[in-house]
Amino acid sequence: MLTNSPIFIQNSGAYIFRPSTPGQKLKTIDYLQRGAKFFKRKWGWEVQAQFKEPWIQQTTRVLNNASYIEVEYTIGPIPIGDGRGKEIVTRLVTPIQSDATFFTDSNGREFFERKRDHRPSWPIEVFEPVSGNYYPINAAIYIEDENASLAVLTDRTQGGGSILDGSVELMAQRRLLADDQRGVKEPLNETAGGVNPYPPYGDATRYGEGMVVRGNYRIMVGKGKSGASLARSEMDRAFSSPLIFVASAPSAGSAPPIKATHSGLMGHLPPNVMLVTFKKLDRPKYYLVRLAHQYGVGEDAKLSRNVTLDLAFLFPGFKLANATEYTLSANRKWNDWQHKRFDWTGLGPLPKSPISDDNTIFTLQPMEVRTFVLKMEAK
Amino acid sequence: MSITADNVALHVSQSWGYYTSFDATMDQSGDNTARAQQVRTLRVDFLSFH
Repeated sequence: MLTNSPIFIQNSGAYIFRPSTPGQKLKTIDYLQRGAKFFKRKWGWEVQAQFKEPWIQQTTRVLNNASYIEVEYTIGPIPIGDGRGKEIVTRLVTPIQSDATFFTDSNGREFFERKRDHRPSWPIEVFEPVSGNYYPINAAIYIEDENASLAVLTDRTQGGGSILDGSVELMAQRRLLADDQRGVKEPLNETAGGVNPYPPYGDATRYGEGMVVRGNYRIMVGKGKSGASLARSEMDRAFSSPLIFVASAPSAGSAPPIKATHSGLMGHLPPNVMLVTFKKLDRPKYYLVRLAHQYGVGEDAKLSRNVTLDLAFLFPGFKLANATEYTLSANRKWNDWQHKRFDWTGLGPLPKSPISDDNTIFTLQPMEVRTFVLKMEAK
Repeated sequence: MSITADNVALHVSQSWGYYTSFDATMDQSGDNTARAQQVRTLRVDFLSFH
Protein backbone atom coordinates (compact mmCIF):
# COMPACT_ATOMS: atom_id res chain seq x y z
CA MET A 1 0.00 0.00 0.00
CA LEU A 2 1.34 3.39 -0.92
CA THR A 3 0.90 5.00 2.49
CA ASN A 4 2.86 2.17 4.10
CA SER A 5 5.68 2.30 1.59
CA PRO A 6 9.12 2.97 3.04
CA ILE A 7 9.26 6.19 1.03
CA PHE A 8 6.17 7.63 2.65
CA ILE A 9 6.98 6.84 6.25
CA GLN A 10 10.71 7.48 6.14
CA ASN A 11 11.70 9.55 9.16
CA SER A 12 14.81 11.51 9.81
CA GLY A 13 17.01 9.45 12.11
CA ALA A 14 20.46 8.18 12.99
CA TYR A 15 21.22 7.11 9.42
CA ILE A 16 19.00 9.42 7.41
CA PHE A 17 18.51 13.19 7.20
CA ARG A 18 15.03 13.99 5.96
CA PRO A 19 13.17 17.13 7.02
CA SER A 20 9.43 16.68 7.38
CA THR A 21 8.74 18.59 4.17
CA PRO A 22 10.99 18.12 1.15
CA GLY A 23 11.92 21.73 0.40
CA GLN A 24 11.76 22.94 3.99
CA LYS A 25 13.27 26.38 4.47
CA LEU A 26 15.77 26.79 7.27
CA LYS A 27 14.18 28.30 10.37
CA THR A 28 16.68 30.98 11.26
CA ILE A 29 17.62 31.75 14.85
CA ASP A 30 18.50 35.42 15.11
CA TYR A 31 21.24 37.02 17.16
CA LEU A 32 20.07 38.63 20.38
CA GLN A 33 20.13 42.43 20.11
CA ARG A 34 23.03 43.77 22.20
CA GLY A 35 23.89 40.16 23.01
CA ALA A 36 27.48 40.30 21.74
CA LYS A 37 30.48 40.90 23.97
CA PHE A 38 33.87 41.89 22.51
CA PHE A 39 37.13 41.00 24.21
CA LYS A 40 40.65 42.00 23.28
CA ARG A 41 43.00 39.17 24.18
CA LYS A 42 46.76 38.70 24.08
CA TRP A 43 46.36 36.29 21.21
CA GLY A 44 43.83 38.31 19.20
CA TRP A 45 40.22 39.19 19.79
CA GLU A 46 37.06 37.36 20.66
CA VAL A 47 33.34 37.95 20.24
CA GLN A 48 30.88 36.03 22.40
CA ALA A 49 27.46 36.08 20.78
CA GLN A 50 24.08 35.21 22.20
CA PHE A 51 21.06 34.11 20.20
CA LYS A 52 17.32 34.31 20.70
CA GLU A 53 17.41 30.63 21.58
CA PRO A 54 19.52 30.24 24.76
CA TRP A 55 20.64 26.74 23.75
CA ILE A 56 22.89 28.17 21.05
CA GLN A 57 26.04 30.03 22.03
CA GLN A 58 28.92 31.02 19.85
CA THR A 59 32.38 32.45 20.28
CA THR A 60 34.22 33.83 17.27
CA ARG A 61 37.98 34.20 17.57
CA VAL A 62 40.43 36.00 15.33
CA LEU A 63 43.89 34.81 16.31
CA ASN A 64 47.01 36.84 15.64
CA ASN A 65 48.88 35.50 12.63
CA ALA A 66 46.34 32.76 11.96
CA SER A 67 45.02 32.36 8.43
CA TYR A 68 41.53 31.48 9.63
CA ILE A 69 38.70 32.70 11.84
CA GLU A 70 37.60 30.23 14.46
CA VAL A 71 33.93 29.82 15.33
CA GLU A 72 33.32 27.77 18.46
CA TYR A 73 29.73 26.71 19.02
CA THR A 74 27.93 25.21 22.00
CA ILE A 75 24.55 23.72 21.14
CA GLY A 76 22.05 21.98 23.35
CA PRO A 77 20.00 20.72 24.96
CA ILE A 78 17.78 21.04 21.88
CA PRO A 79 14.19 21.60 23.06
CA ILE A 80 11.65 19.01 21.98
CA GLY A 81 8.62 20.25 23.92
CA ASP A 82 6.85 21.06 20.65
CA GLY A 83 7.05 17.41 19.59
CA ARG A 84 9.43 18.21 16.74
CA GLY A 85 12.88 16.85 16.10
CA LYS A 86 15.39 19.54 15.17
CA GLU A 87 18.56 19.41 13.10
CA ILE A 88 20.72 22.42 13.78
CA VAL A 89 22.85 23.89 11.04
CA THR A 90 25.02 26.93 10.56
CA ARG A 91 24.83 28.68 7.23
CA LEU A 92 27.48 31.00 5.81
CA VAL A 93 26.34 33.26 2.99
CA THR A 94 28.75 35.06 0.66
CA PRO A 95 28.52 36.88 -2.67
CA ILE A 96 30.56 34.09 -4.30
CA GLN A 97 28.96 33.01 -7.57
CA SER A 98 29.28 29.31 -6.94
CA ASP A 99 26.90 28.30 -9.74
CA ALA A 100 25.42 25.37 -7.78
CA THR A 101 28.90 23.86 -7.39
CA PHE A 102 30.73 23.05 -4.18
CA PHE A 103 33.48 20.71 -3.10
CA THR A 104 33.63 18.21 -0.26
CA ASP A 105 36.48 16.01 0.89
CA SER A 106 36.58 12.24 0.74
CA ASN A 107 37.72 11.19 4.19
CA GLY A 108 40.25 14.01 4.24
CA ARG A 109 41.92 12.98 0.99
CA GLU A 110 40.69 14.03 -2.45
CA PHE A 111 38.03 16.68 -2.96
CA PHE A 112 34.92 15.81 -4.96
CA GLU A 113 33.05 18.33 -7.04
CA ARG A 114 29.36 18.35 -6.08
CA LYS A 115 26.66 20.01 -8.13
CA ARG A 116 23.34 20.80 -6.58
CA ASP A 117 20.49 18.65 -7.95
CA HIS A 118 22.94 16.69 -10.06
CA ARG A 119 24.66 13.31 -10.06
CA PRO A 120 27.65 12.75 -12.30
CA SER A 121 26.64 9.35 -13.62
CA TRP A 122 22.84 9.42 -14.01
CA PRO A 123 20.05 11.95 -14.56
CA ILE A 124 18.43 12.67 -11.21
CA GLU A 125 14.91 13.87 -10.57
CA VAL A 126 15.06 15.74 -7.28
CA PHE A 127 12.46 14.99 -4.63
CA GLU A 128 14.52 16.10 -1.65
CA PRO A 129 16.01 19.52 -2.43
CA VAL A 130 17.65 19.82 1.00
CA SER A 131 18.73 16.37 2.11
CA GLY A 132 19.32 15.25 -1.50
CA ASN A 133 22.07 17.85 -1.64
CA TYR A 134 23.75 17.04 1.67
CA TYR A 135 27.07 15.21 1.67
CA PRO A 136 29.41 13.92 4.37
CA ILE A 137 32.01 16.52 5.29
CA ASN A 138 34.91 14.78 7.02
CA ALA A 139 37.35 17.66 6.95
CA ALA A 140 36.34 20.56 4.70
CA ILE A 141 33.88 22.07 2.27
CA TYR A 142 34.56 24.96 -0.08
CA ILE A 143 32.98 27.17 -2.72
CA GLU A 144 34.77 29.44 -5.16
CA ASP A 145 34.46 31.64 -8.21
CA GLU A 146 36.95 33.66 -10.27
CA ASN A 147 37.27 36.36 -7.59
CA ALA A 148 37.09 34.71 -4.20
CA SER A 149 36.96 31.41 -2.34
CA LEU A 150 35.51 30.32 0.99
CA ALA A 151 36.61 27.15 2.80
CA VAL A 152 35.17 25.85 6.06
CA LEU A 153 37.04 23.21 8.04
CA THR A 154 35.27 21.02 10.57
CA ASP A 155 36.72 19.45 13.70
CA ARG A 156 34.47 16.39 13.25
CA THR A 157 32.49 14.72 10.52
CA GLN A 158 29.21 16.46 9.75
CA GLY A 159 26.62 16.68 7.01
CA GLY A 160 26.85 19.72 4.79
CA GLY A 161 26.08 21.25 1.46
CA SER A 162 25.40 24.41 -0.48
CA ILE A 163 21.63 24.73 -0.70
CA LEU A 164 21.80 28.28 -2.05
CA ASP A 165 24.42 29.67 -4.41
CA GLY A 166 27.22 31.38 -2.51
CA SER A 167 26.37 29.59 0.72
CA VAL A 168 27.78 26.75 2.77
CA GLU A 169 25.91 25.00 5.53
CA LEU A 170 26.97 22.42 8.08
CA MET A 171 24.89 20.38 10.49
CA ALA A 172 26.34 20.64 13.99
CA GLN A 173 23.76 18.88 16.17
CA ARG A 174 20.58 16.80 15.82
CA ARG A 175 17.83 15.62 18.16
CA LEU A 176 15.03 13.52 16.72
CA LEU A 177 11.92 11.89 18.09
CA ALA A 178 11.20 9.11 15.60
CA ASP A 179 13.16 6.06 14.52
CA ASP A 180 14.35 5.96 10.93
CA GLN A 181 13.68 2.20 10.79
CA ARG A 182 17.19 1.26 9.84
CA GLY A 183 17.84 -1.17 12.66
CA VAL A 184 18.70 0.83 15.77
CA LYS A 185 15.03 0.85 16.80
CA GLU A 186 15.26 4.09 18.75
CA PRO A 187 15.12 7.75 17.83
CA LEU A 188 18.30 9.81 17.81
CA ASN A 189 17.51 11.40 21.15
CA GLU A 190 20.60 11.04 23.29
CA THR A 191 20.36 12.41 26.82
CA ALA A 192 22.99 13.25 29.40
CA GLY A 193 21.53 10.97 32.11
CA GLY A 194 21.61 7.77 30.12
CA VAL A 195 18.88 5.25 29.41
CA ASN A 196 17.23 2.23 31.06
CA PRO A 197 17.93 -1.17 29.46
CA TYR A 198 15.77 -2.06 26.51
CA PRO A 199 12.92 -4.60 26.73
CA PRO A 200 12.67 -7.25 27.97
CA TYR A 201 15.14 -6.05 30.63
CA GLY A 202 13.81 -2.51 31.00
CA ASP A 203 11.59 0.14 29.48
CA ALA A 204 14.24 2.20 27.62
CA THR A 205 13.32 5.35 29.53
CA ARG A 206 15.78 8.20 28.97
CA TYR A 207 17.03 10.41 31.79
CA GLY A 208 18.30 13.93 31.89
CA GLU A 209 18.47 16.74 29.39
CA GLY A 210 19.47 16.37 25.78
CA MET A 211 23.16 16.32 24.94
CA VAL A 212 25.20 19.50 24.61
CA VAL A 213 27.90 19.54 21.94
CA ARG A 214 30.81 21.91 21.54
CA GLY A 215 32.85 22.09 18.38
CA ASN A 216 34.47 24.54 16.05
CA TYR A 217 34.80 25.64 12.48
CA ARG A 218 37.76 27.28 10.84
CA ILE A 219 36.63 29.75 8.20
CA MET A 220 39.09 30.78 5.50
CA VAL A 221 38.79 33.13 2.55
CA GLY A 222 41.18 33.68 -0.32
CA LYS A 223 41.56 34.62 -3.92
CA GLY A 224 39.53 33.10 -6.74
CA LYS A 225 39.72 29.36 -7.44
CA SER A 226 41.85 28.72 -4.36
CA GLY A 227 39.37 26.80 -2.20
CA ALA A 228 41.29 23.50 -2.21
CA SER A 229 44.58 25.21 -1.48
CA LEU A 230 43.02 27.18 1.40
CA ALA A 231 41.51 24.06 2.93
CA ARG A 232 44.66 21.96 2.55
CA SER A 233 46.80 24.58 4.25
CA GLU A 234 44.93 24.13 7.52
CA MET A 235 43.30 20.69 7.36
CA ASP A 236 46.04 18.75 9.12
CA ARG A 237 46.24 21.21 12.00
CA ALA A 238 42.45 21.15 12.35
CA PHE A 239 42.42 17.36 12.40
CA SER A 240 45.41 16.89 14.71
CA SER A 241 45.00 19.71 17.17
CA PRO A 242 47.24 19.45 20.23
CA LEU A 243 46.13 17.15 23.03
CA ILE A 244 46.52 18.70 26.47
CA PHE A 245 47.44 16.48 29.41
CA VAL A 246 47.64 17.53 33.02
CA ALA A 247 49.64 15.57 35.57
CA SER A 248 49.76 15.92 39.31
CA ALA A 249 52.99 16.55 41.18
CA PRO A 250 53.79 16.87 44.89
CA SER A 251 53.64 20.55 45.73
CA ALA A 252 56.72 20.41 47.94
CA GLY A 253 58.89 18.29 45.66
CA SER A 254 60.50 19.14 42.38
CA ALA A 255 58.19 19.38 39.41
CA PRO A 256 58.58 16.93 36.53
CA PRO A 257 61.17 18.07 34.00
CA ILE A 258 59.79 20.74 31.76
CA LYS A 259 60.87 20.93 28.15
CA ALA A 260 59.39 23.86 26.32
CA THR A 261 59.49 22.33 22.87
CA HIS A 262 60.04 18.93 21.38
CA SER A 263 59.90 17.66 17.82
CA GLY A 264 60.11 14.07 16.69
CA LEU A 265 61.50 15.30 13.39
CA MET A 266 64.92 16.60 12.42
CA GLY A 267 63.37 19.74 10.96
CA HIS A 268 60.22 21.02 9.30
CA LEU A 269 58.72 18.72 6.70
CA PRO A 270 57.80 20.42 3.43
CA PRO A 271 54.39 22.10 3.84
CA ASN A 272 52.72 19.58 1.53
CA VAL A 273 53.94 16.49 3.43
CA MET A 274 52.55 14.94 6.60
CA LEU A 275 54.06 12.27 8.81
CA VAL A 276 50.95 10.09 9.09
CA THR A 277 52.45 7.25 11.17
CA PHE A 278 55.49 6.84 13.39
CA LYS A 279 55.11 3.65 15.39
CA LYS A 280 57.57 1.45 17.25
CA LEU A 281 57.13 -2.15 16.17
CA ASP A 282 57.46 -5.23 18.36
CA ARG A 283 60.84 -6.14 16.84
CA PRO A 284 63.50 -4.07 18.58
CA LYS A 285 64.85 -1.17 16.49
CA TYR A 286 62.07 -1.42 13.87
CA TYR A 287 59.64 1.42 13.20
CA LEU A 288 56.62 1.82 10.94
CA VAL A 289 56.56 5.14 9.10
CA ARG A 290 54.00 6.55 6.67
CA LEU A 291 54.47 9.82 4.84
CA ALA A 292 51.76 11.42 2.73
CA HIS A 293 51.54 14.14 0.12
CA GLN A 294 48.64 16.29 1.31
CA TYR A 295 47.71 18.11 -1.92
CA GLY A 296 45.81 16.82 -4.92
CA VAL A 297 46.73 17.37 -8.57
CA GLY A 298 46.17 20.99 -9.59
CA GLU A 299 45.04 22.17 -6.15
CA ASP A 300 47.98 24.54 -5.68
CA ALA A 301 50.47 25.93 -8.18
CA LYS A 302 53.49 25.07 -6.01
CA LEU A 303 52.37 22.63 -3.36
CA SER A 304 50.76 20.14 -5.73
CA ARG A 305 54.17 19.34 -7.21
CA ASN A 306 56.06 16.15 -6.48
CA VAL A 307 58.28 16.31 -3.42
CA THR A 308 61.43 14.33 -2.64
CA LEU A 309 62.47 13.28 0.87
CA ASP A 310 65.34 11.37 2.43
CA LEU A 311 64.41 9.00 5.25
CA ALA A 312 68.00 9.08 6.53
CA PHE A 313 67.57 12.70 7.62
CA LEU A 314 64.09 12.80 9.12
CA PHE A 315 64.34 11.47 12.67
CA PRO A 316 66.71 12.99 15.22
CA GLY A 317 68.58 10.69 17.59
CA PHE A 318 68.48 7.75 15.19
CA LYS A 319 70.85 6.34 12.60
CA LEU A 320 69.02 4.64 9.76
CA ALA A 321 70.29 1.07 9.17
CA ASN A 322 67.89 0.11 6.40
CA ALA A 323 64.48 0.92 4.95
CA THR A 324 61.97 -1.32 3.23
CA GLU A 325 58.86 -0.08 1.48
CA TYR A 326 55.58 -1.83 2.36
CA THR A 327 52.01 -1.70 1.11
CA LEU A 328 49.73 0.81 2.79
CA SER A 329 48.49 -1.68 5.38
CA ALA A 330 52.12 -2.66 6.09
CA ASN A 331 51.49 -6.40 5.81
CA ARG A 332 53.44 -7.04 2.58
CA LYS A 333 56.64 -5.73 1.11
CA TRP A 334 55.81 -3.46 -1.82
CA ASN A 335 58.06 -5.35 -4.26
CA ASP A 336 56.53 -8.75 -3.37
CA TRP A 337 53.03 -7.38 -3.76
CA GLN A 338 53.79 -5.61 -7.00
CA HIS A 339 55.17 -8.71 -8.72
CA LYS A 340 52.62 -11.19 -7.41
CA ARG A 341 49.39 -9.24 -7.75
CA PHE A 342 47.07 -10.12 -10.60
CA ASP A 343 47.68 -7.98 -13.66
CA TRP A 344 44.15 -6.71 -14.26
CA THR A 345 45.07 -4.30 -17.02
CA GLY A 346 47.51 -6.49 -18.93
CA LEU A 347 49.92 -3.56 -18.87
CA GLY A 348 52.32 -4.99 -16.31
CA PRO A 349 53.09 -3.81 -12.77
CA LEU A 350 51.85 -0.41 -11.67
CA PRO A 351 54.34 2.39 -12.24
CA LYS A 352 55.98 3.38 -9.01
CA SER A 353 57.18 6.77 -7.85
CA PRO A 354 60.95 7.05 -7.87
CA ILE A 355 62.94 5.64 -4.96
CA SER A 356 66.69 5.28 -4.53
CA ASP A 357 68.38 1.85 -4.53
CA ASP A 358 68.86 1.98 -0.76
CA ASN A 359 65.17 2.91 -0.32
CA THR A 360 65.89 6.13 1.55
CA ILE A 361 65.42 8.91 -1.03
CA PHE A 362 61.94 8.79 -2.51
CA THR A 363 59.38 10.95 -4.25
CA LEU A 364 55.80 11.59 -3.21
CA GLN A 365 53.31 12.44 -5.93
CA PRO A 366 50.10 14.40 -5.19
CA MET A 367 47.87 12.49 -2.73
CA GLU A 368 50.34 9.62 -2.51
CA VAL A 369 50.93 7.83 0.79
CA ARG A 370 54.08 5.69 1.14
CA THR A 371 54.71 3.20 3.91
CA PHE A 372 58.12 2.11 5.19
CA VAL A 373 59.52 -0.16 7.84
CA LEU A 374 62.74 1.38 9.10
CA LYS A 375 65.47 -0.25 11.13
CA MET A 376 67.06 2.50 13.17
CA GLU A 377 69.77 2.51 15.82
CA ALA A 378 69.72 5.07 18.58
CA LYS A 379 72.68 7.41 18.16
CA MET B 1 31.48 39.94 9.05
CA SER B 2 33.98 40.94 6.42
CA ILE B 3 37.03 38.69 6.13
CA THR B 4 40.08 39.88 4.26
CA ALA B 5 42.86 37.58 3.13
CA ASP B 6 45.10 37.39 0.07
CA ASN B 7 43.91 40.94 -0.75
CA VAL B 8 40.39 39.55 -1.09
CA ALA B 9 37.71 41.07 1.11
CA LEU B 10 34.69 38.83 1.38
CA HIS B 11 31.49 39.57 3.23
CA VAL B 12 30.44 36.43 5.07
CA SER B 13 27.23 36.38 7.06
CA GLN B 14 26.94 33.45 9.41
CA SER B 15 23.75 32.35 11.09
CA TRP B 16 22.23 29.37 12.84
CA GLY B 17 18.95 27.68 12.08
CA TYR B 18 17.24 24.32 12.06
CA TYR B 19 15.20 21.91 10.02
CA THR B 20 12.33 20.17 11.76
CA SER B 21 11.04 16.64 11.55
CA PHE B 22 8.50 14.50 13.34
CA ASP B 23 7.18 10.98 13.22
CA ALA B 24 5.83 10.69 9.69
CA THR B 25 4.07 7.45 10.52
CA MET B 26 1.82 9.31 12.96
CA ASP B 27 0.93 12.17 10.63
CA GLN B 28 -1.86 11.90 8.10
CA SER B 29 -2.06 15.54 7.04
CA GLY B 30 -0.36 18.88 7.51
CA ASP B 31 3.32 18.86 6.79
CA ASN B 32 3.10 15.58 4.96
CA THR B 33 0.75 16.80 2.25
CA ALA B 34 3.66 17.93 0.14
CA ARG B 35 5.44 14.64 0.83
CA ALA B 36 2.41 12.61 -0.30
CA GLN B 37 2.30 14.63 -3.50
CA GLN B 38 5.94 13.74 -4.15
CA VAL B 39 5.27 10.06 -3.58
CA ARG B 40 2.41 10.07 -6.11
CA THR B 41 4.79 11.52 -8.66
CA LEU B 42 7.28 8.76 -7.91
CA ARG B 43 4.62 6.12 -8.44
CA VAL B 44 3.62 7.51 -11.83
CA ASP B 45 7.25 7.51 -12.92
CA PHE B 46 7.62 3.91 -11.86
CA LEU B 47 4.55 2.77 -13.79
CA SER B 48 5.72 4.50 -16.91
CA PHE B 49 8.51 1.91 -17.24
CA HIS B 50 5.95 -0.81 -18.02
